[in-house]
Amino acid sequence: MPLPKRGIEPVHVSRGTFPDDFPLPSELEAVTNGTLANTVRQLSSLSRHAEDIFGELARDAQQLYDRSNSLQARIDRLAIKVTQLDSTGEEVSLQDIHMRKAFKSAVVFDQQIFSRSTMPTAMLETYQSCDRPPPLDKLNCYRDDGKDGLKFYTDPNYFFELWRQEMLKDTERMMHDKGKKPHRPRNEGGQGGRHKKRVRQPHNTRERQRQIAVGHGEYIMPQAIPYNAPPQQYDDNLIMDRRPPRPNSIELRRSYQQELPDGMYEENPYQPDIYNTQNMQNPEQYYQTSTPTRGGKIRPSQPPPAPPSNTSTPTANTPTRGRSMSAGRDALPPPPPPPETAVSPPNGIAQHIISRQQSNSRSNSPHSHQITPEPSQDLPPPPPIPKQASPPKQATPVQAPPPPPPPPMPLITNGPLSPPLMNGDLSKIMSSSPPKLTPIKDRPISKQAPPPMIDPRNDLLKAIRDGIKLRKVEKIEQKEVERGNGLHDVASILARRVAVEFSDSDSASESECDSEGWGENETSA
Amino acid sequence: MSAPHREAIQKQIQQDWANREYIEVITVSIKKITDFLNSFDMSCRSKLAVLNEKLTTLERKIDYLEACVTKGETLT
Repeated sequence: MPLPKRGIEPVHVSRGTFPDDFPLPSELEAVTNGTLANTVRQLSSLSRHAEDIFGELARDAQQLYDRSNSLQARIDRLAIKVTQLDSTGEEVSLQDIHMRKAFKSAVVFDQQIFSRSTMPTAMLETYQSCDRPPPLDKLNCYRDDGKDGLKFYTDPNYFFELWRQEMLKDTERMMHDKGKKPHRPRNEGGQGGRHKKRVRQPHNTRERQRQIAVGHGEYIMPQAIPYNAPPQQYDDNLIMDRRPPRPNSIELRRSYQQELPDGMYEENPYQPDIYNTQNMQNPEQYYQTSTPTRGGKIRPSQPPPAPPSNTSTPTANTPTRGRSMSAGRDALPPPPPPPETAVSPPNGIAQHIISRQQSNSRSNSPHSHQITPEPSQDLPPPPPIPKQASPPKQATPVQAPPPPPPPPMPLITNGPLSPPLMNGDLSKIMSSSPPKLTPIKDRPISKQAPPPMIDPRNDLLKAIRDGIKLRKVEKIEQKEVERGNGLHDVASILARRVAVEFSDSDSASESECDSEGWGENETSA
Repeated sequence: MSAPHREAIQKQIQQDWANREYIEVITVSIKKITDFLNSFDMSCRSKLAVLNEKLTTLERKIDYLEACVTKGETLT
């Protein structure tokens, strides 16, 4: 459909030029005069457009002139320089070569050519005369998900966002694969291939879950800012998630920072196992649970409505942490009768715990060690527990109590049951994390046969963790925002993608796998 | 009575036709001007675009040449 750029104003020159209510001596003359007047109006409109046209042309020409001038100057400079070049007399020293900076083109690509900002003024006038969209954005304050209500009505950036999201995800995945390659060989040379494929799936599900949740207006994070923020943040989160999000306790963090390198290596082996053995639900649940924890305080406000998928999980999750922490210790000493159930159980909680534990355990690699030491540590602390149960904690527990009780059993069982296999890893994790944790958590756990008790403490822990986490999250967000700004234009996205693709040319097979995952994501989205 | 009245009406109508012709001339001229402006705009823009394209390629070539020629000094 052709869009007229300029329109000359009065179109029907002779219409309406005859006044009905006014007796005239000569009607024909009246019409003639009216028509003439309208014609003059047309002329004036035409002259205005002409001025606009010439103005645009002159501006463009002026730009070209400036560019050609600067180009001429560069050519002149270059000519002088070239004449000074003397291949015989000059020696290129090694230092000079090293001093050289890599060539960086300063070419700026035109992008967003058809955006509102580049609309010609003539067309802009027409556009201004259009009806404005209903002020749906005024209802934003009543939205829980922090979305812009107007975007449900009209969103000029929709397709660009769609495209950008895809591209960023794609590149992110490629970078992910690349990053993992080096780690795998260290862990297990032969099984590296397997791990790659399996590890990837969880990421997909995570992304999918997040997107689905966000798409449905689900409330994952109370603050909503990070999620609503551009998709890049998600990608970033994926990367970042590995380390910071899982370890909820402060002390664990410290250990991470200190022992980061070790933890990194160990991560890969554990994660794949977890994902493989456990249902895909784990990542999702883990997701939801982890996100709310950051926002911690928000929960109370969020009751059950927002999270459609698992309302019970969020509440259970928090308690699970405490349990998991405690479970690691508890699990070791008591021989759990239902170990098998723990592995298979549909309970997302157990899985969450495991995953977290794994993350925690990263820092502490020794499996055999951990099991034995843990029980010893746990045993002594129990007496002080009562003190720890503080009033604030109790208040919070009321909310969460019902769901948590069942999950703890599986956790315990998992730890003790199968040390060599998956469970073994978990137990290791458990063992590693608990020692670092403060005694308080452990003690409460041991005593806390009743689920409600666990919940309040978890809340306290949350509060503590949140305090610390909040800062970190902010940092991450800042980084993401910076990144996001950088990747907000087509050129940089494409450039980054090209760079990624060229950097690992050998990842053809991986890219294929990615593409598969892509299809799923797209469909889900 | 009828004759002069008739003449007057005829005169009016003839005058009206003359006016109409006059208006027609003006309108056609406006159309011509519009056509000219449009074609002028289009041709100018296409030429400017070609020029712009050439300038861009030239700039890139110069970029490349400058990078080739520069020695130790820092590039910006």
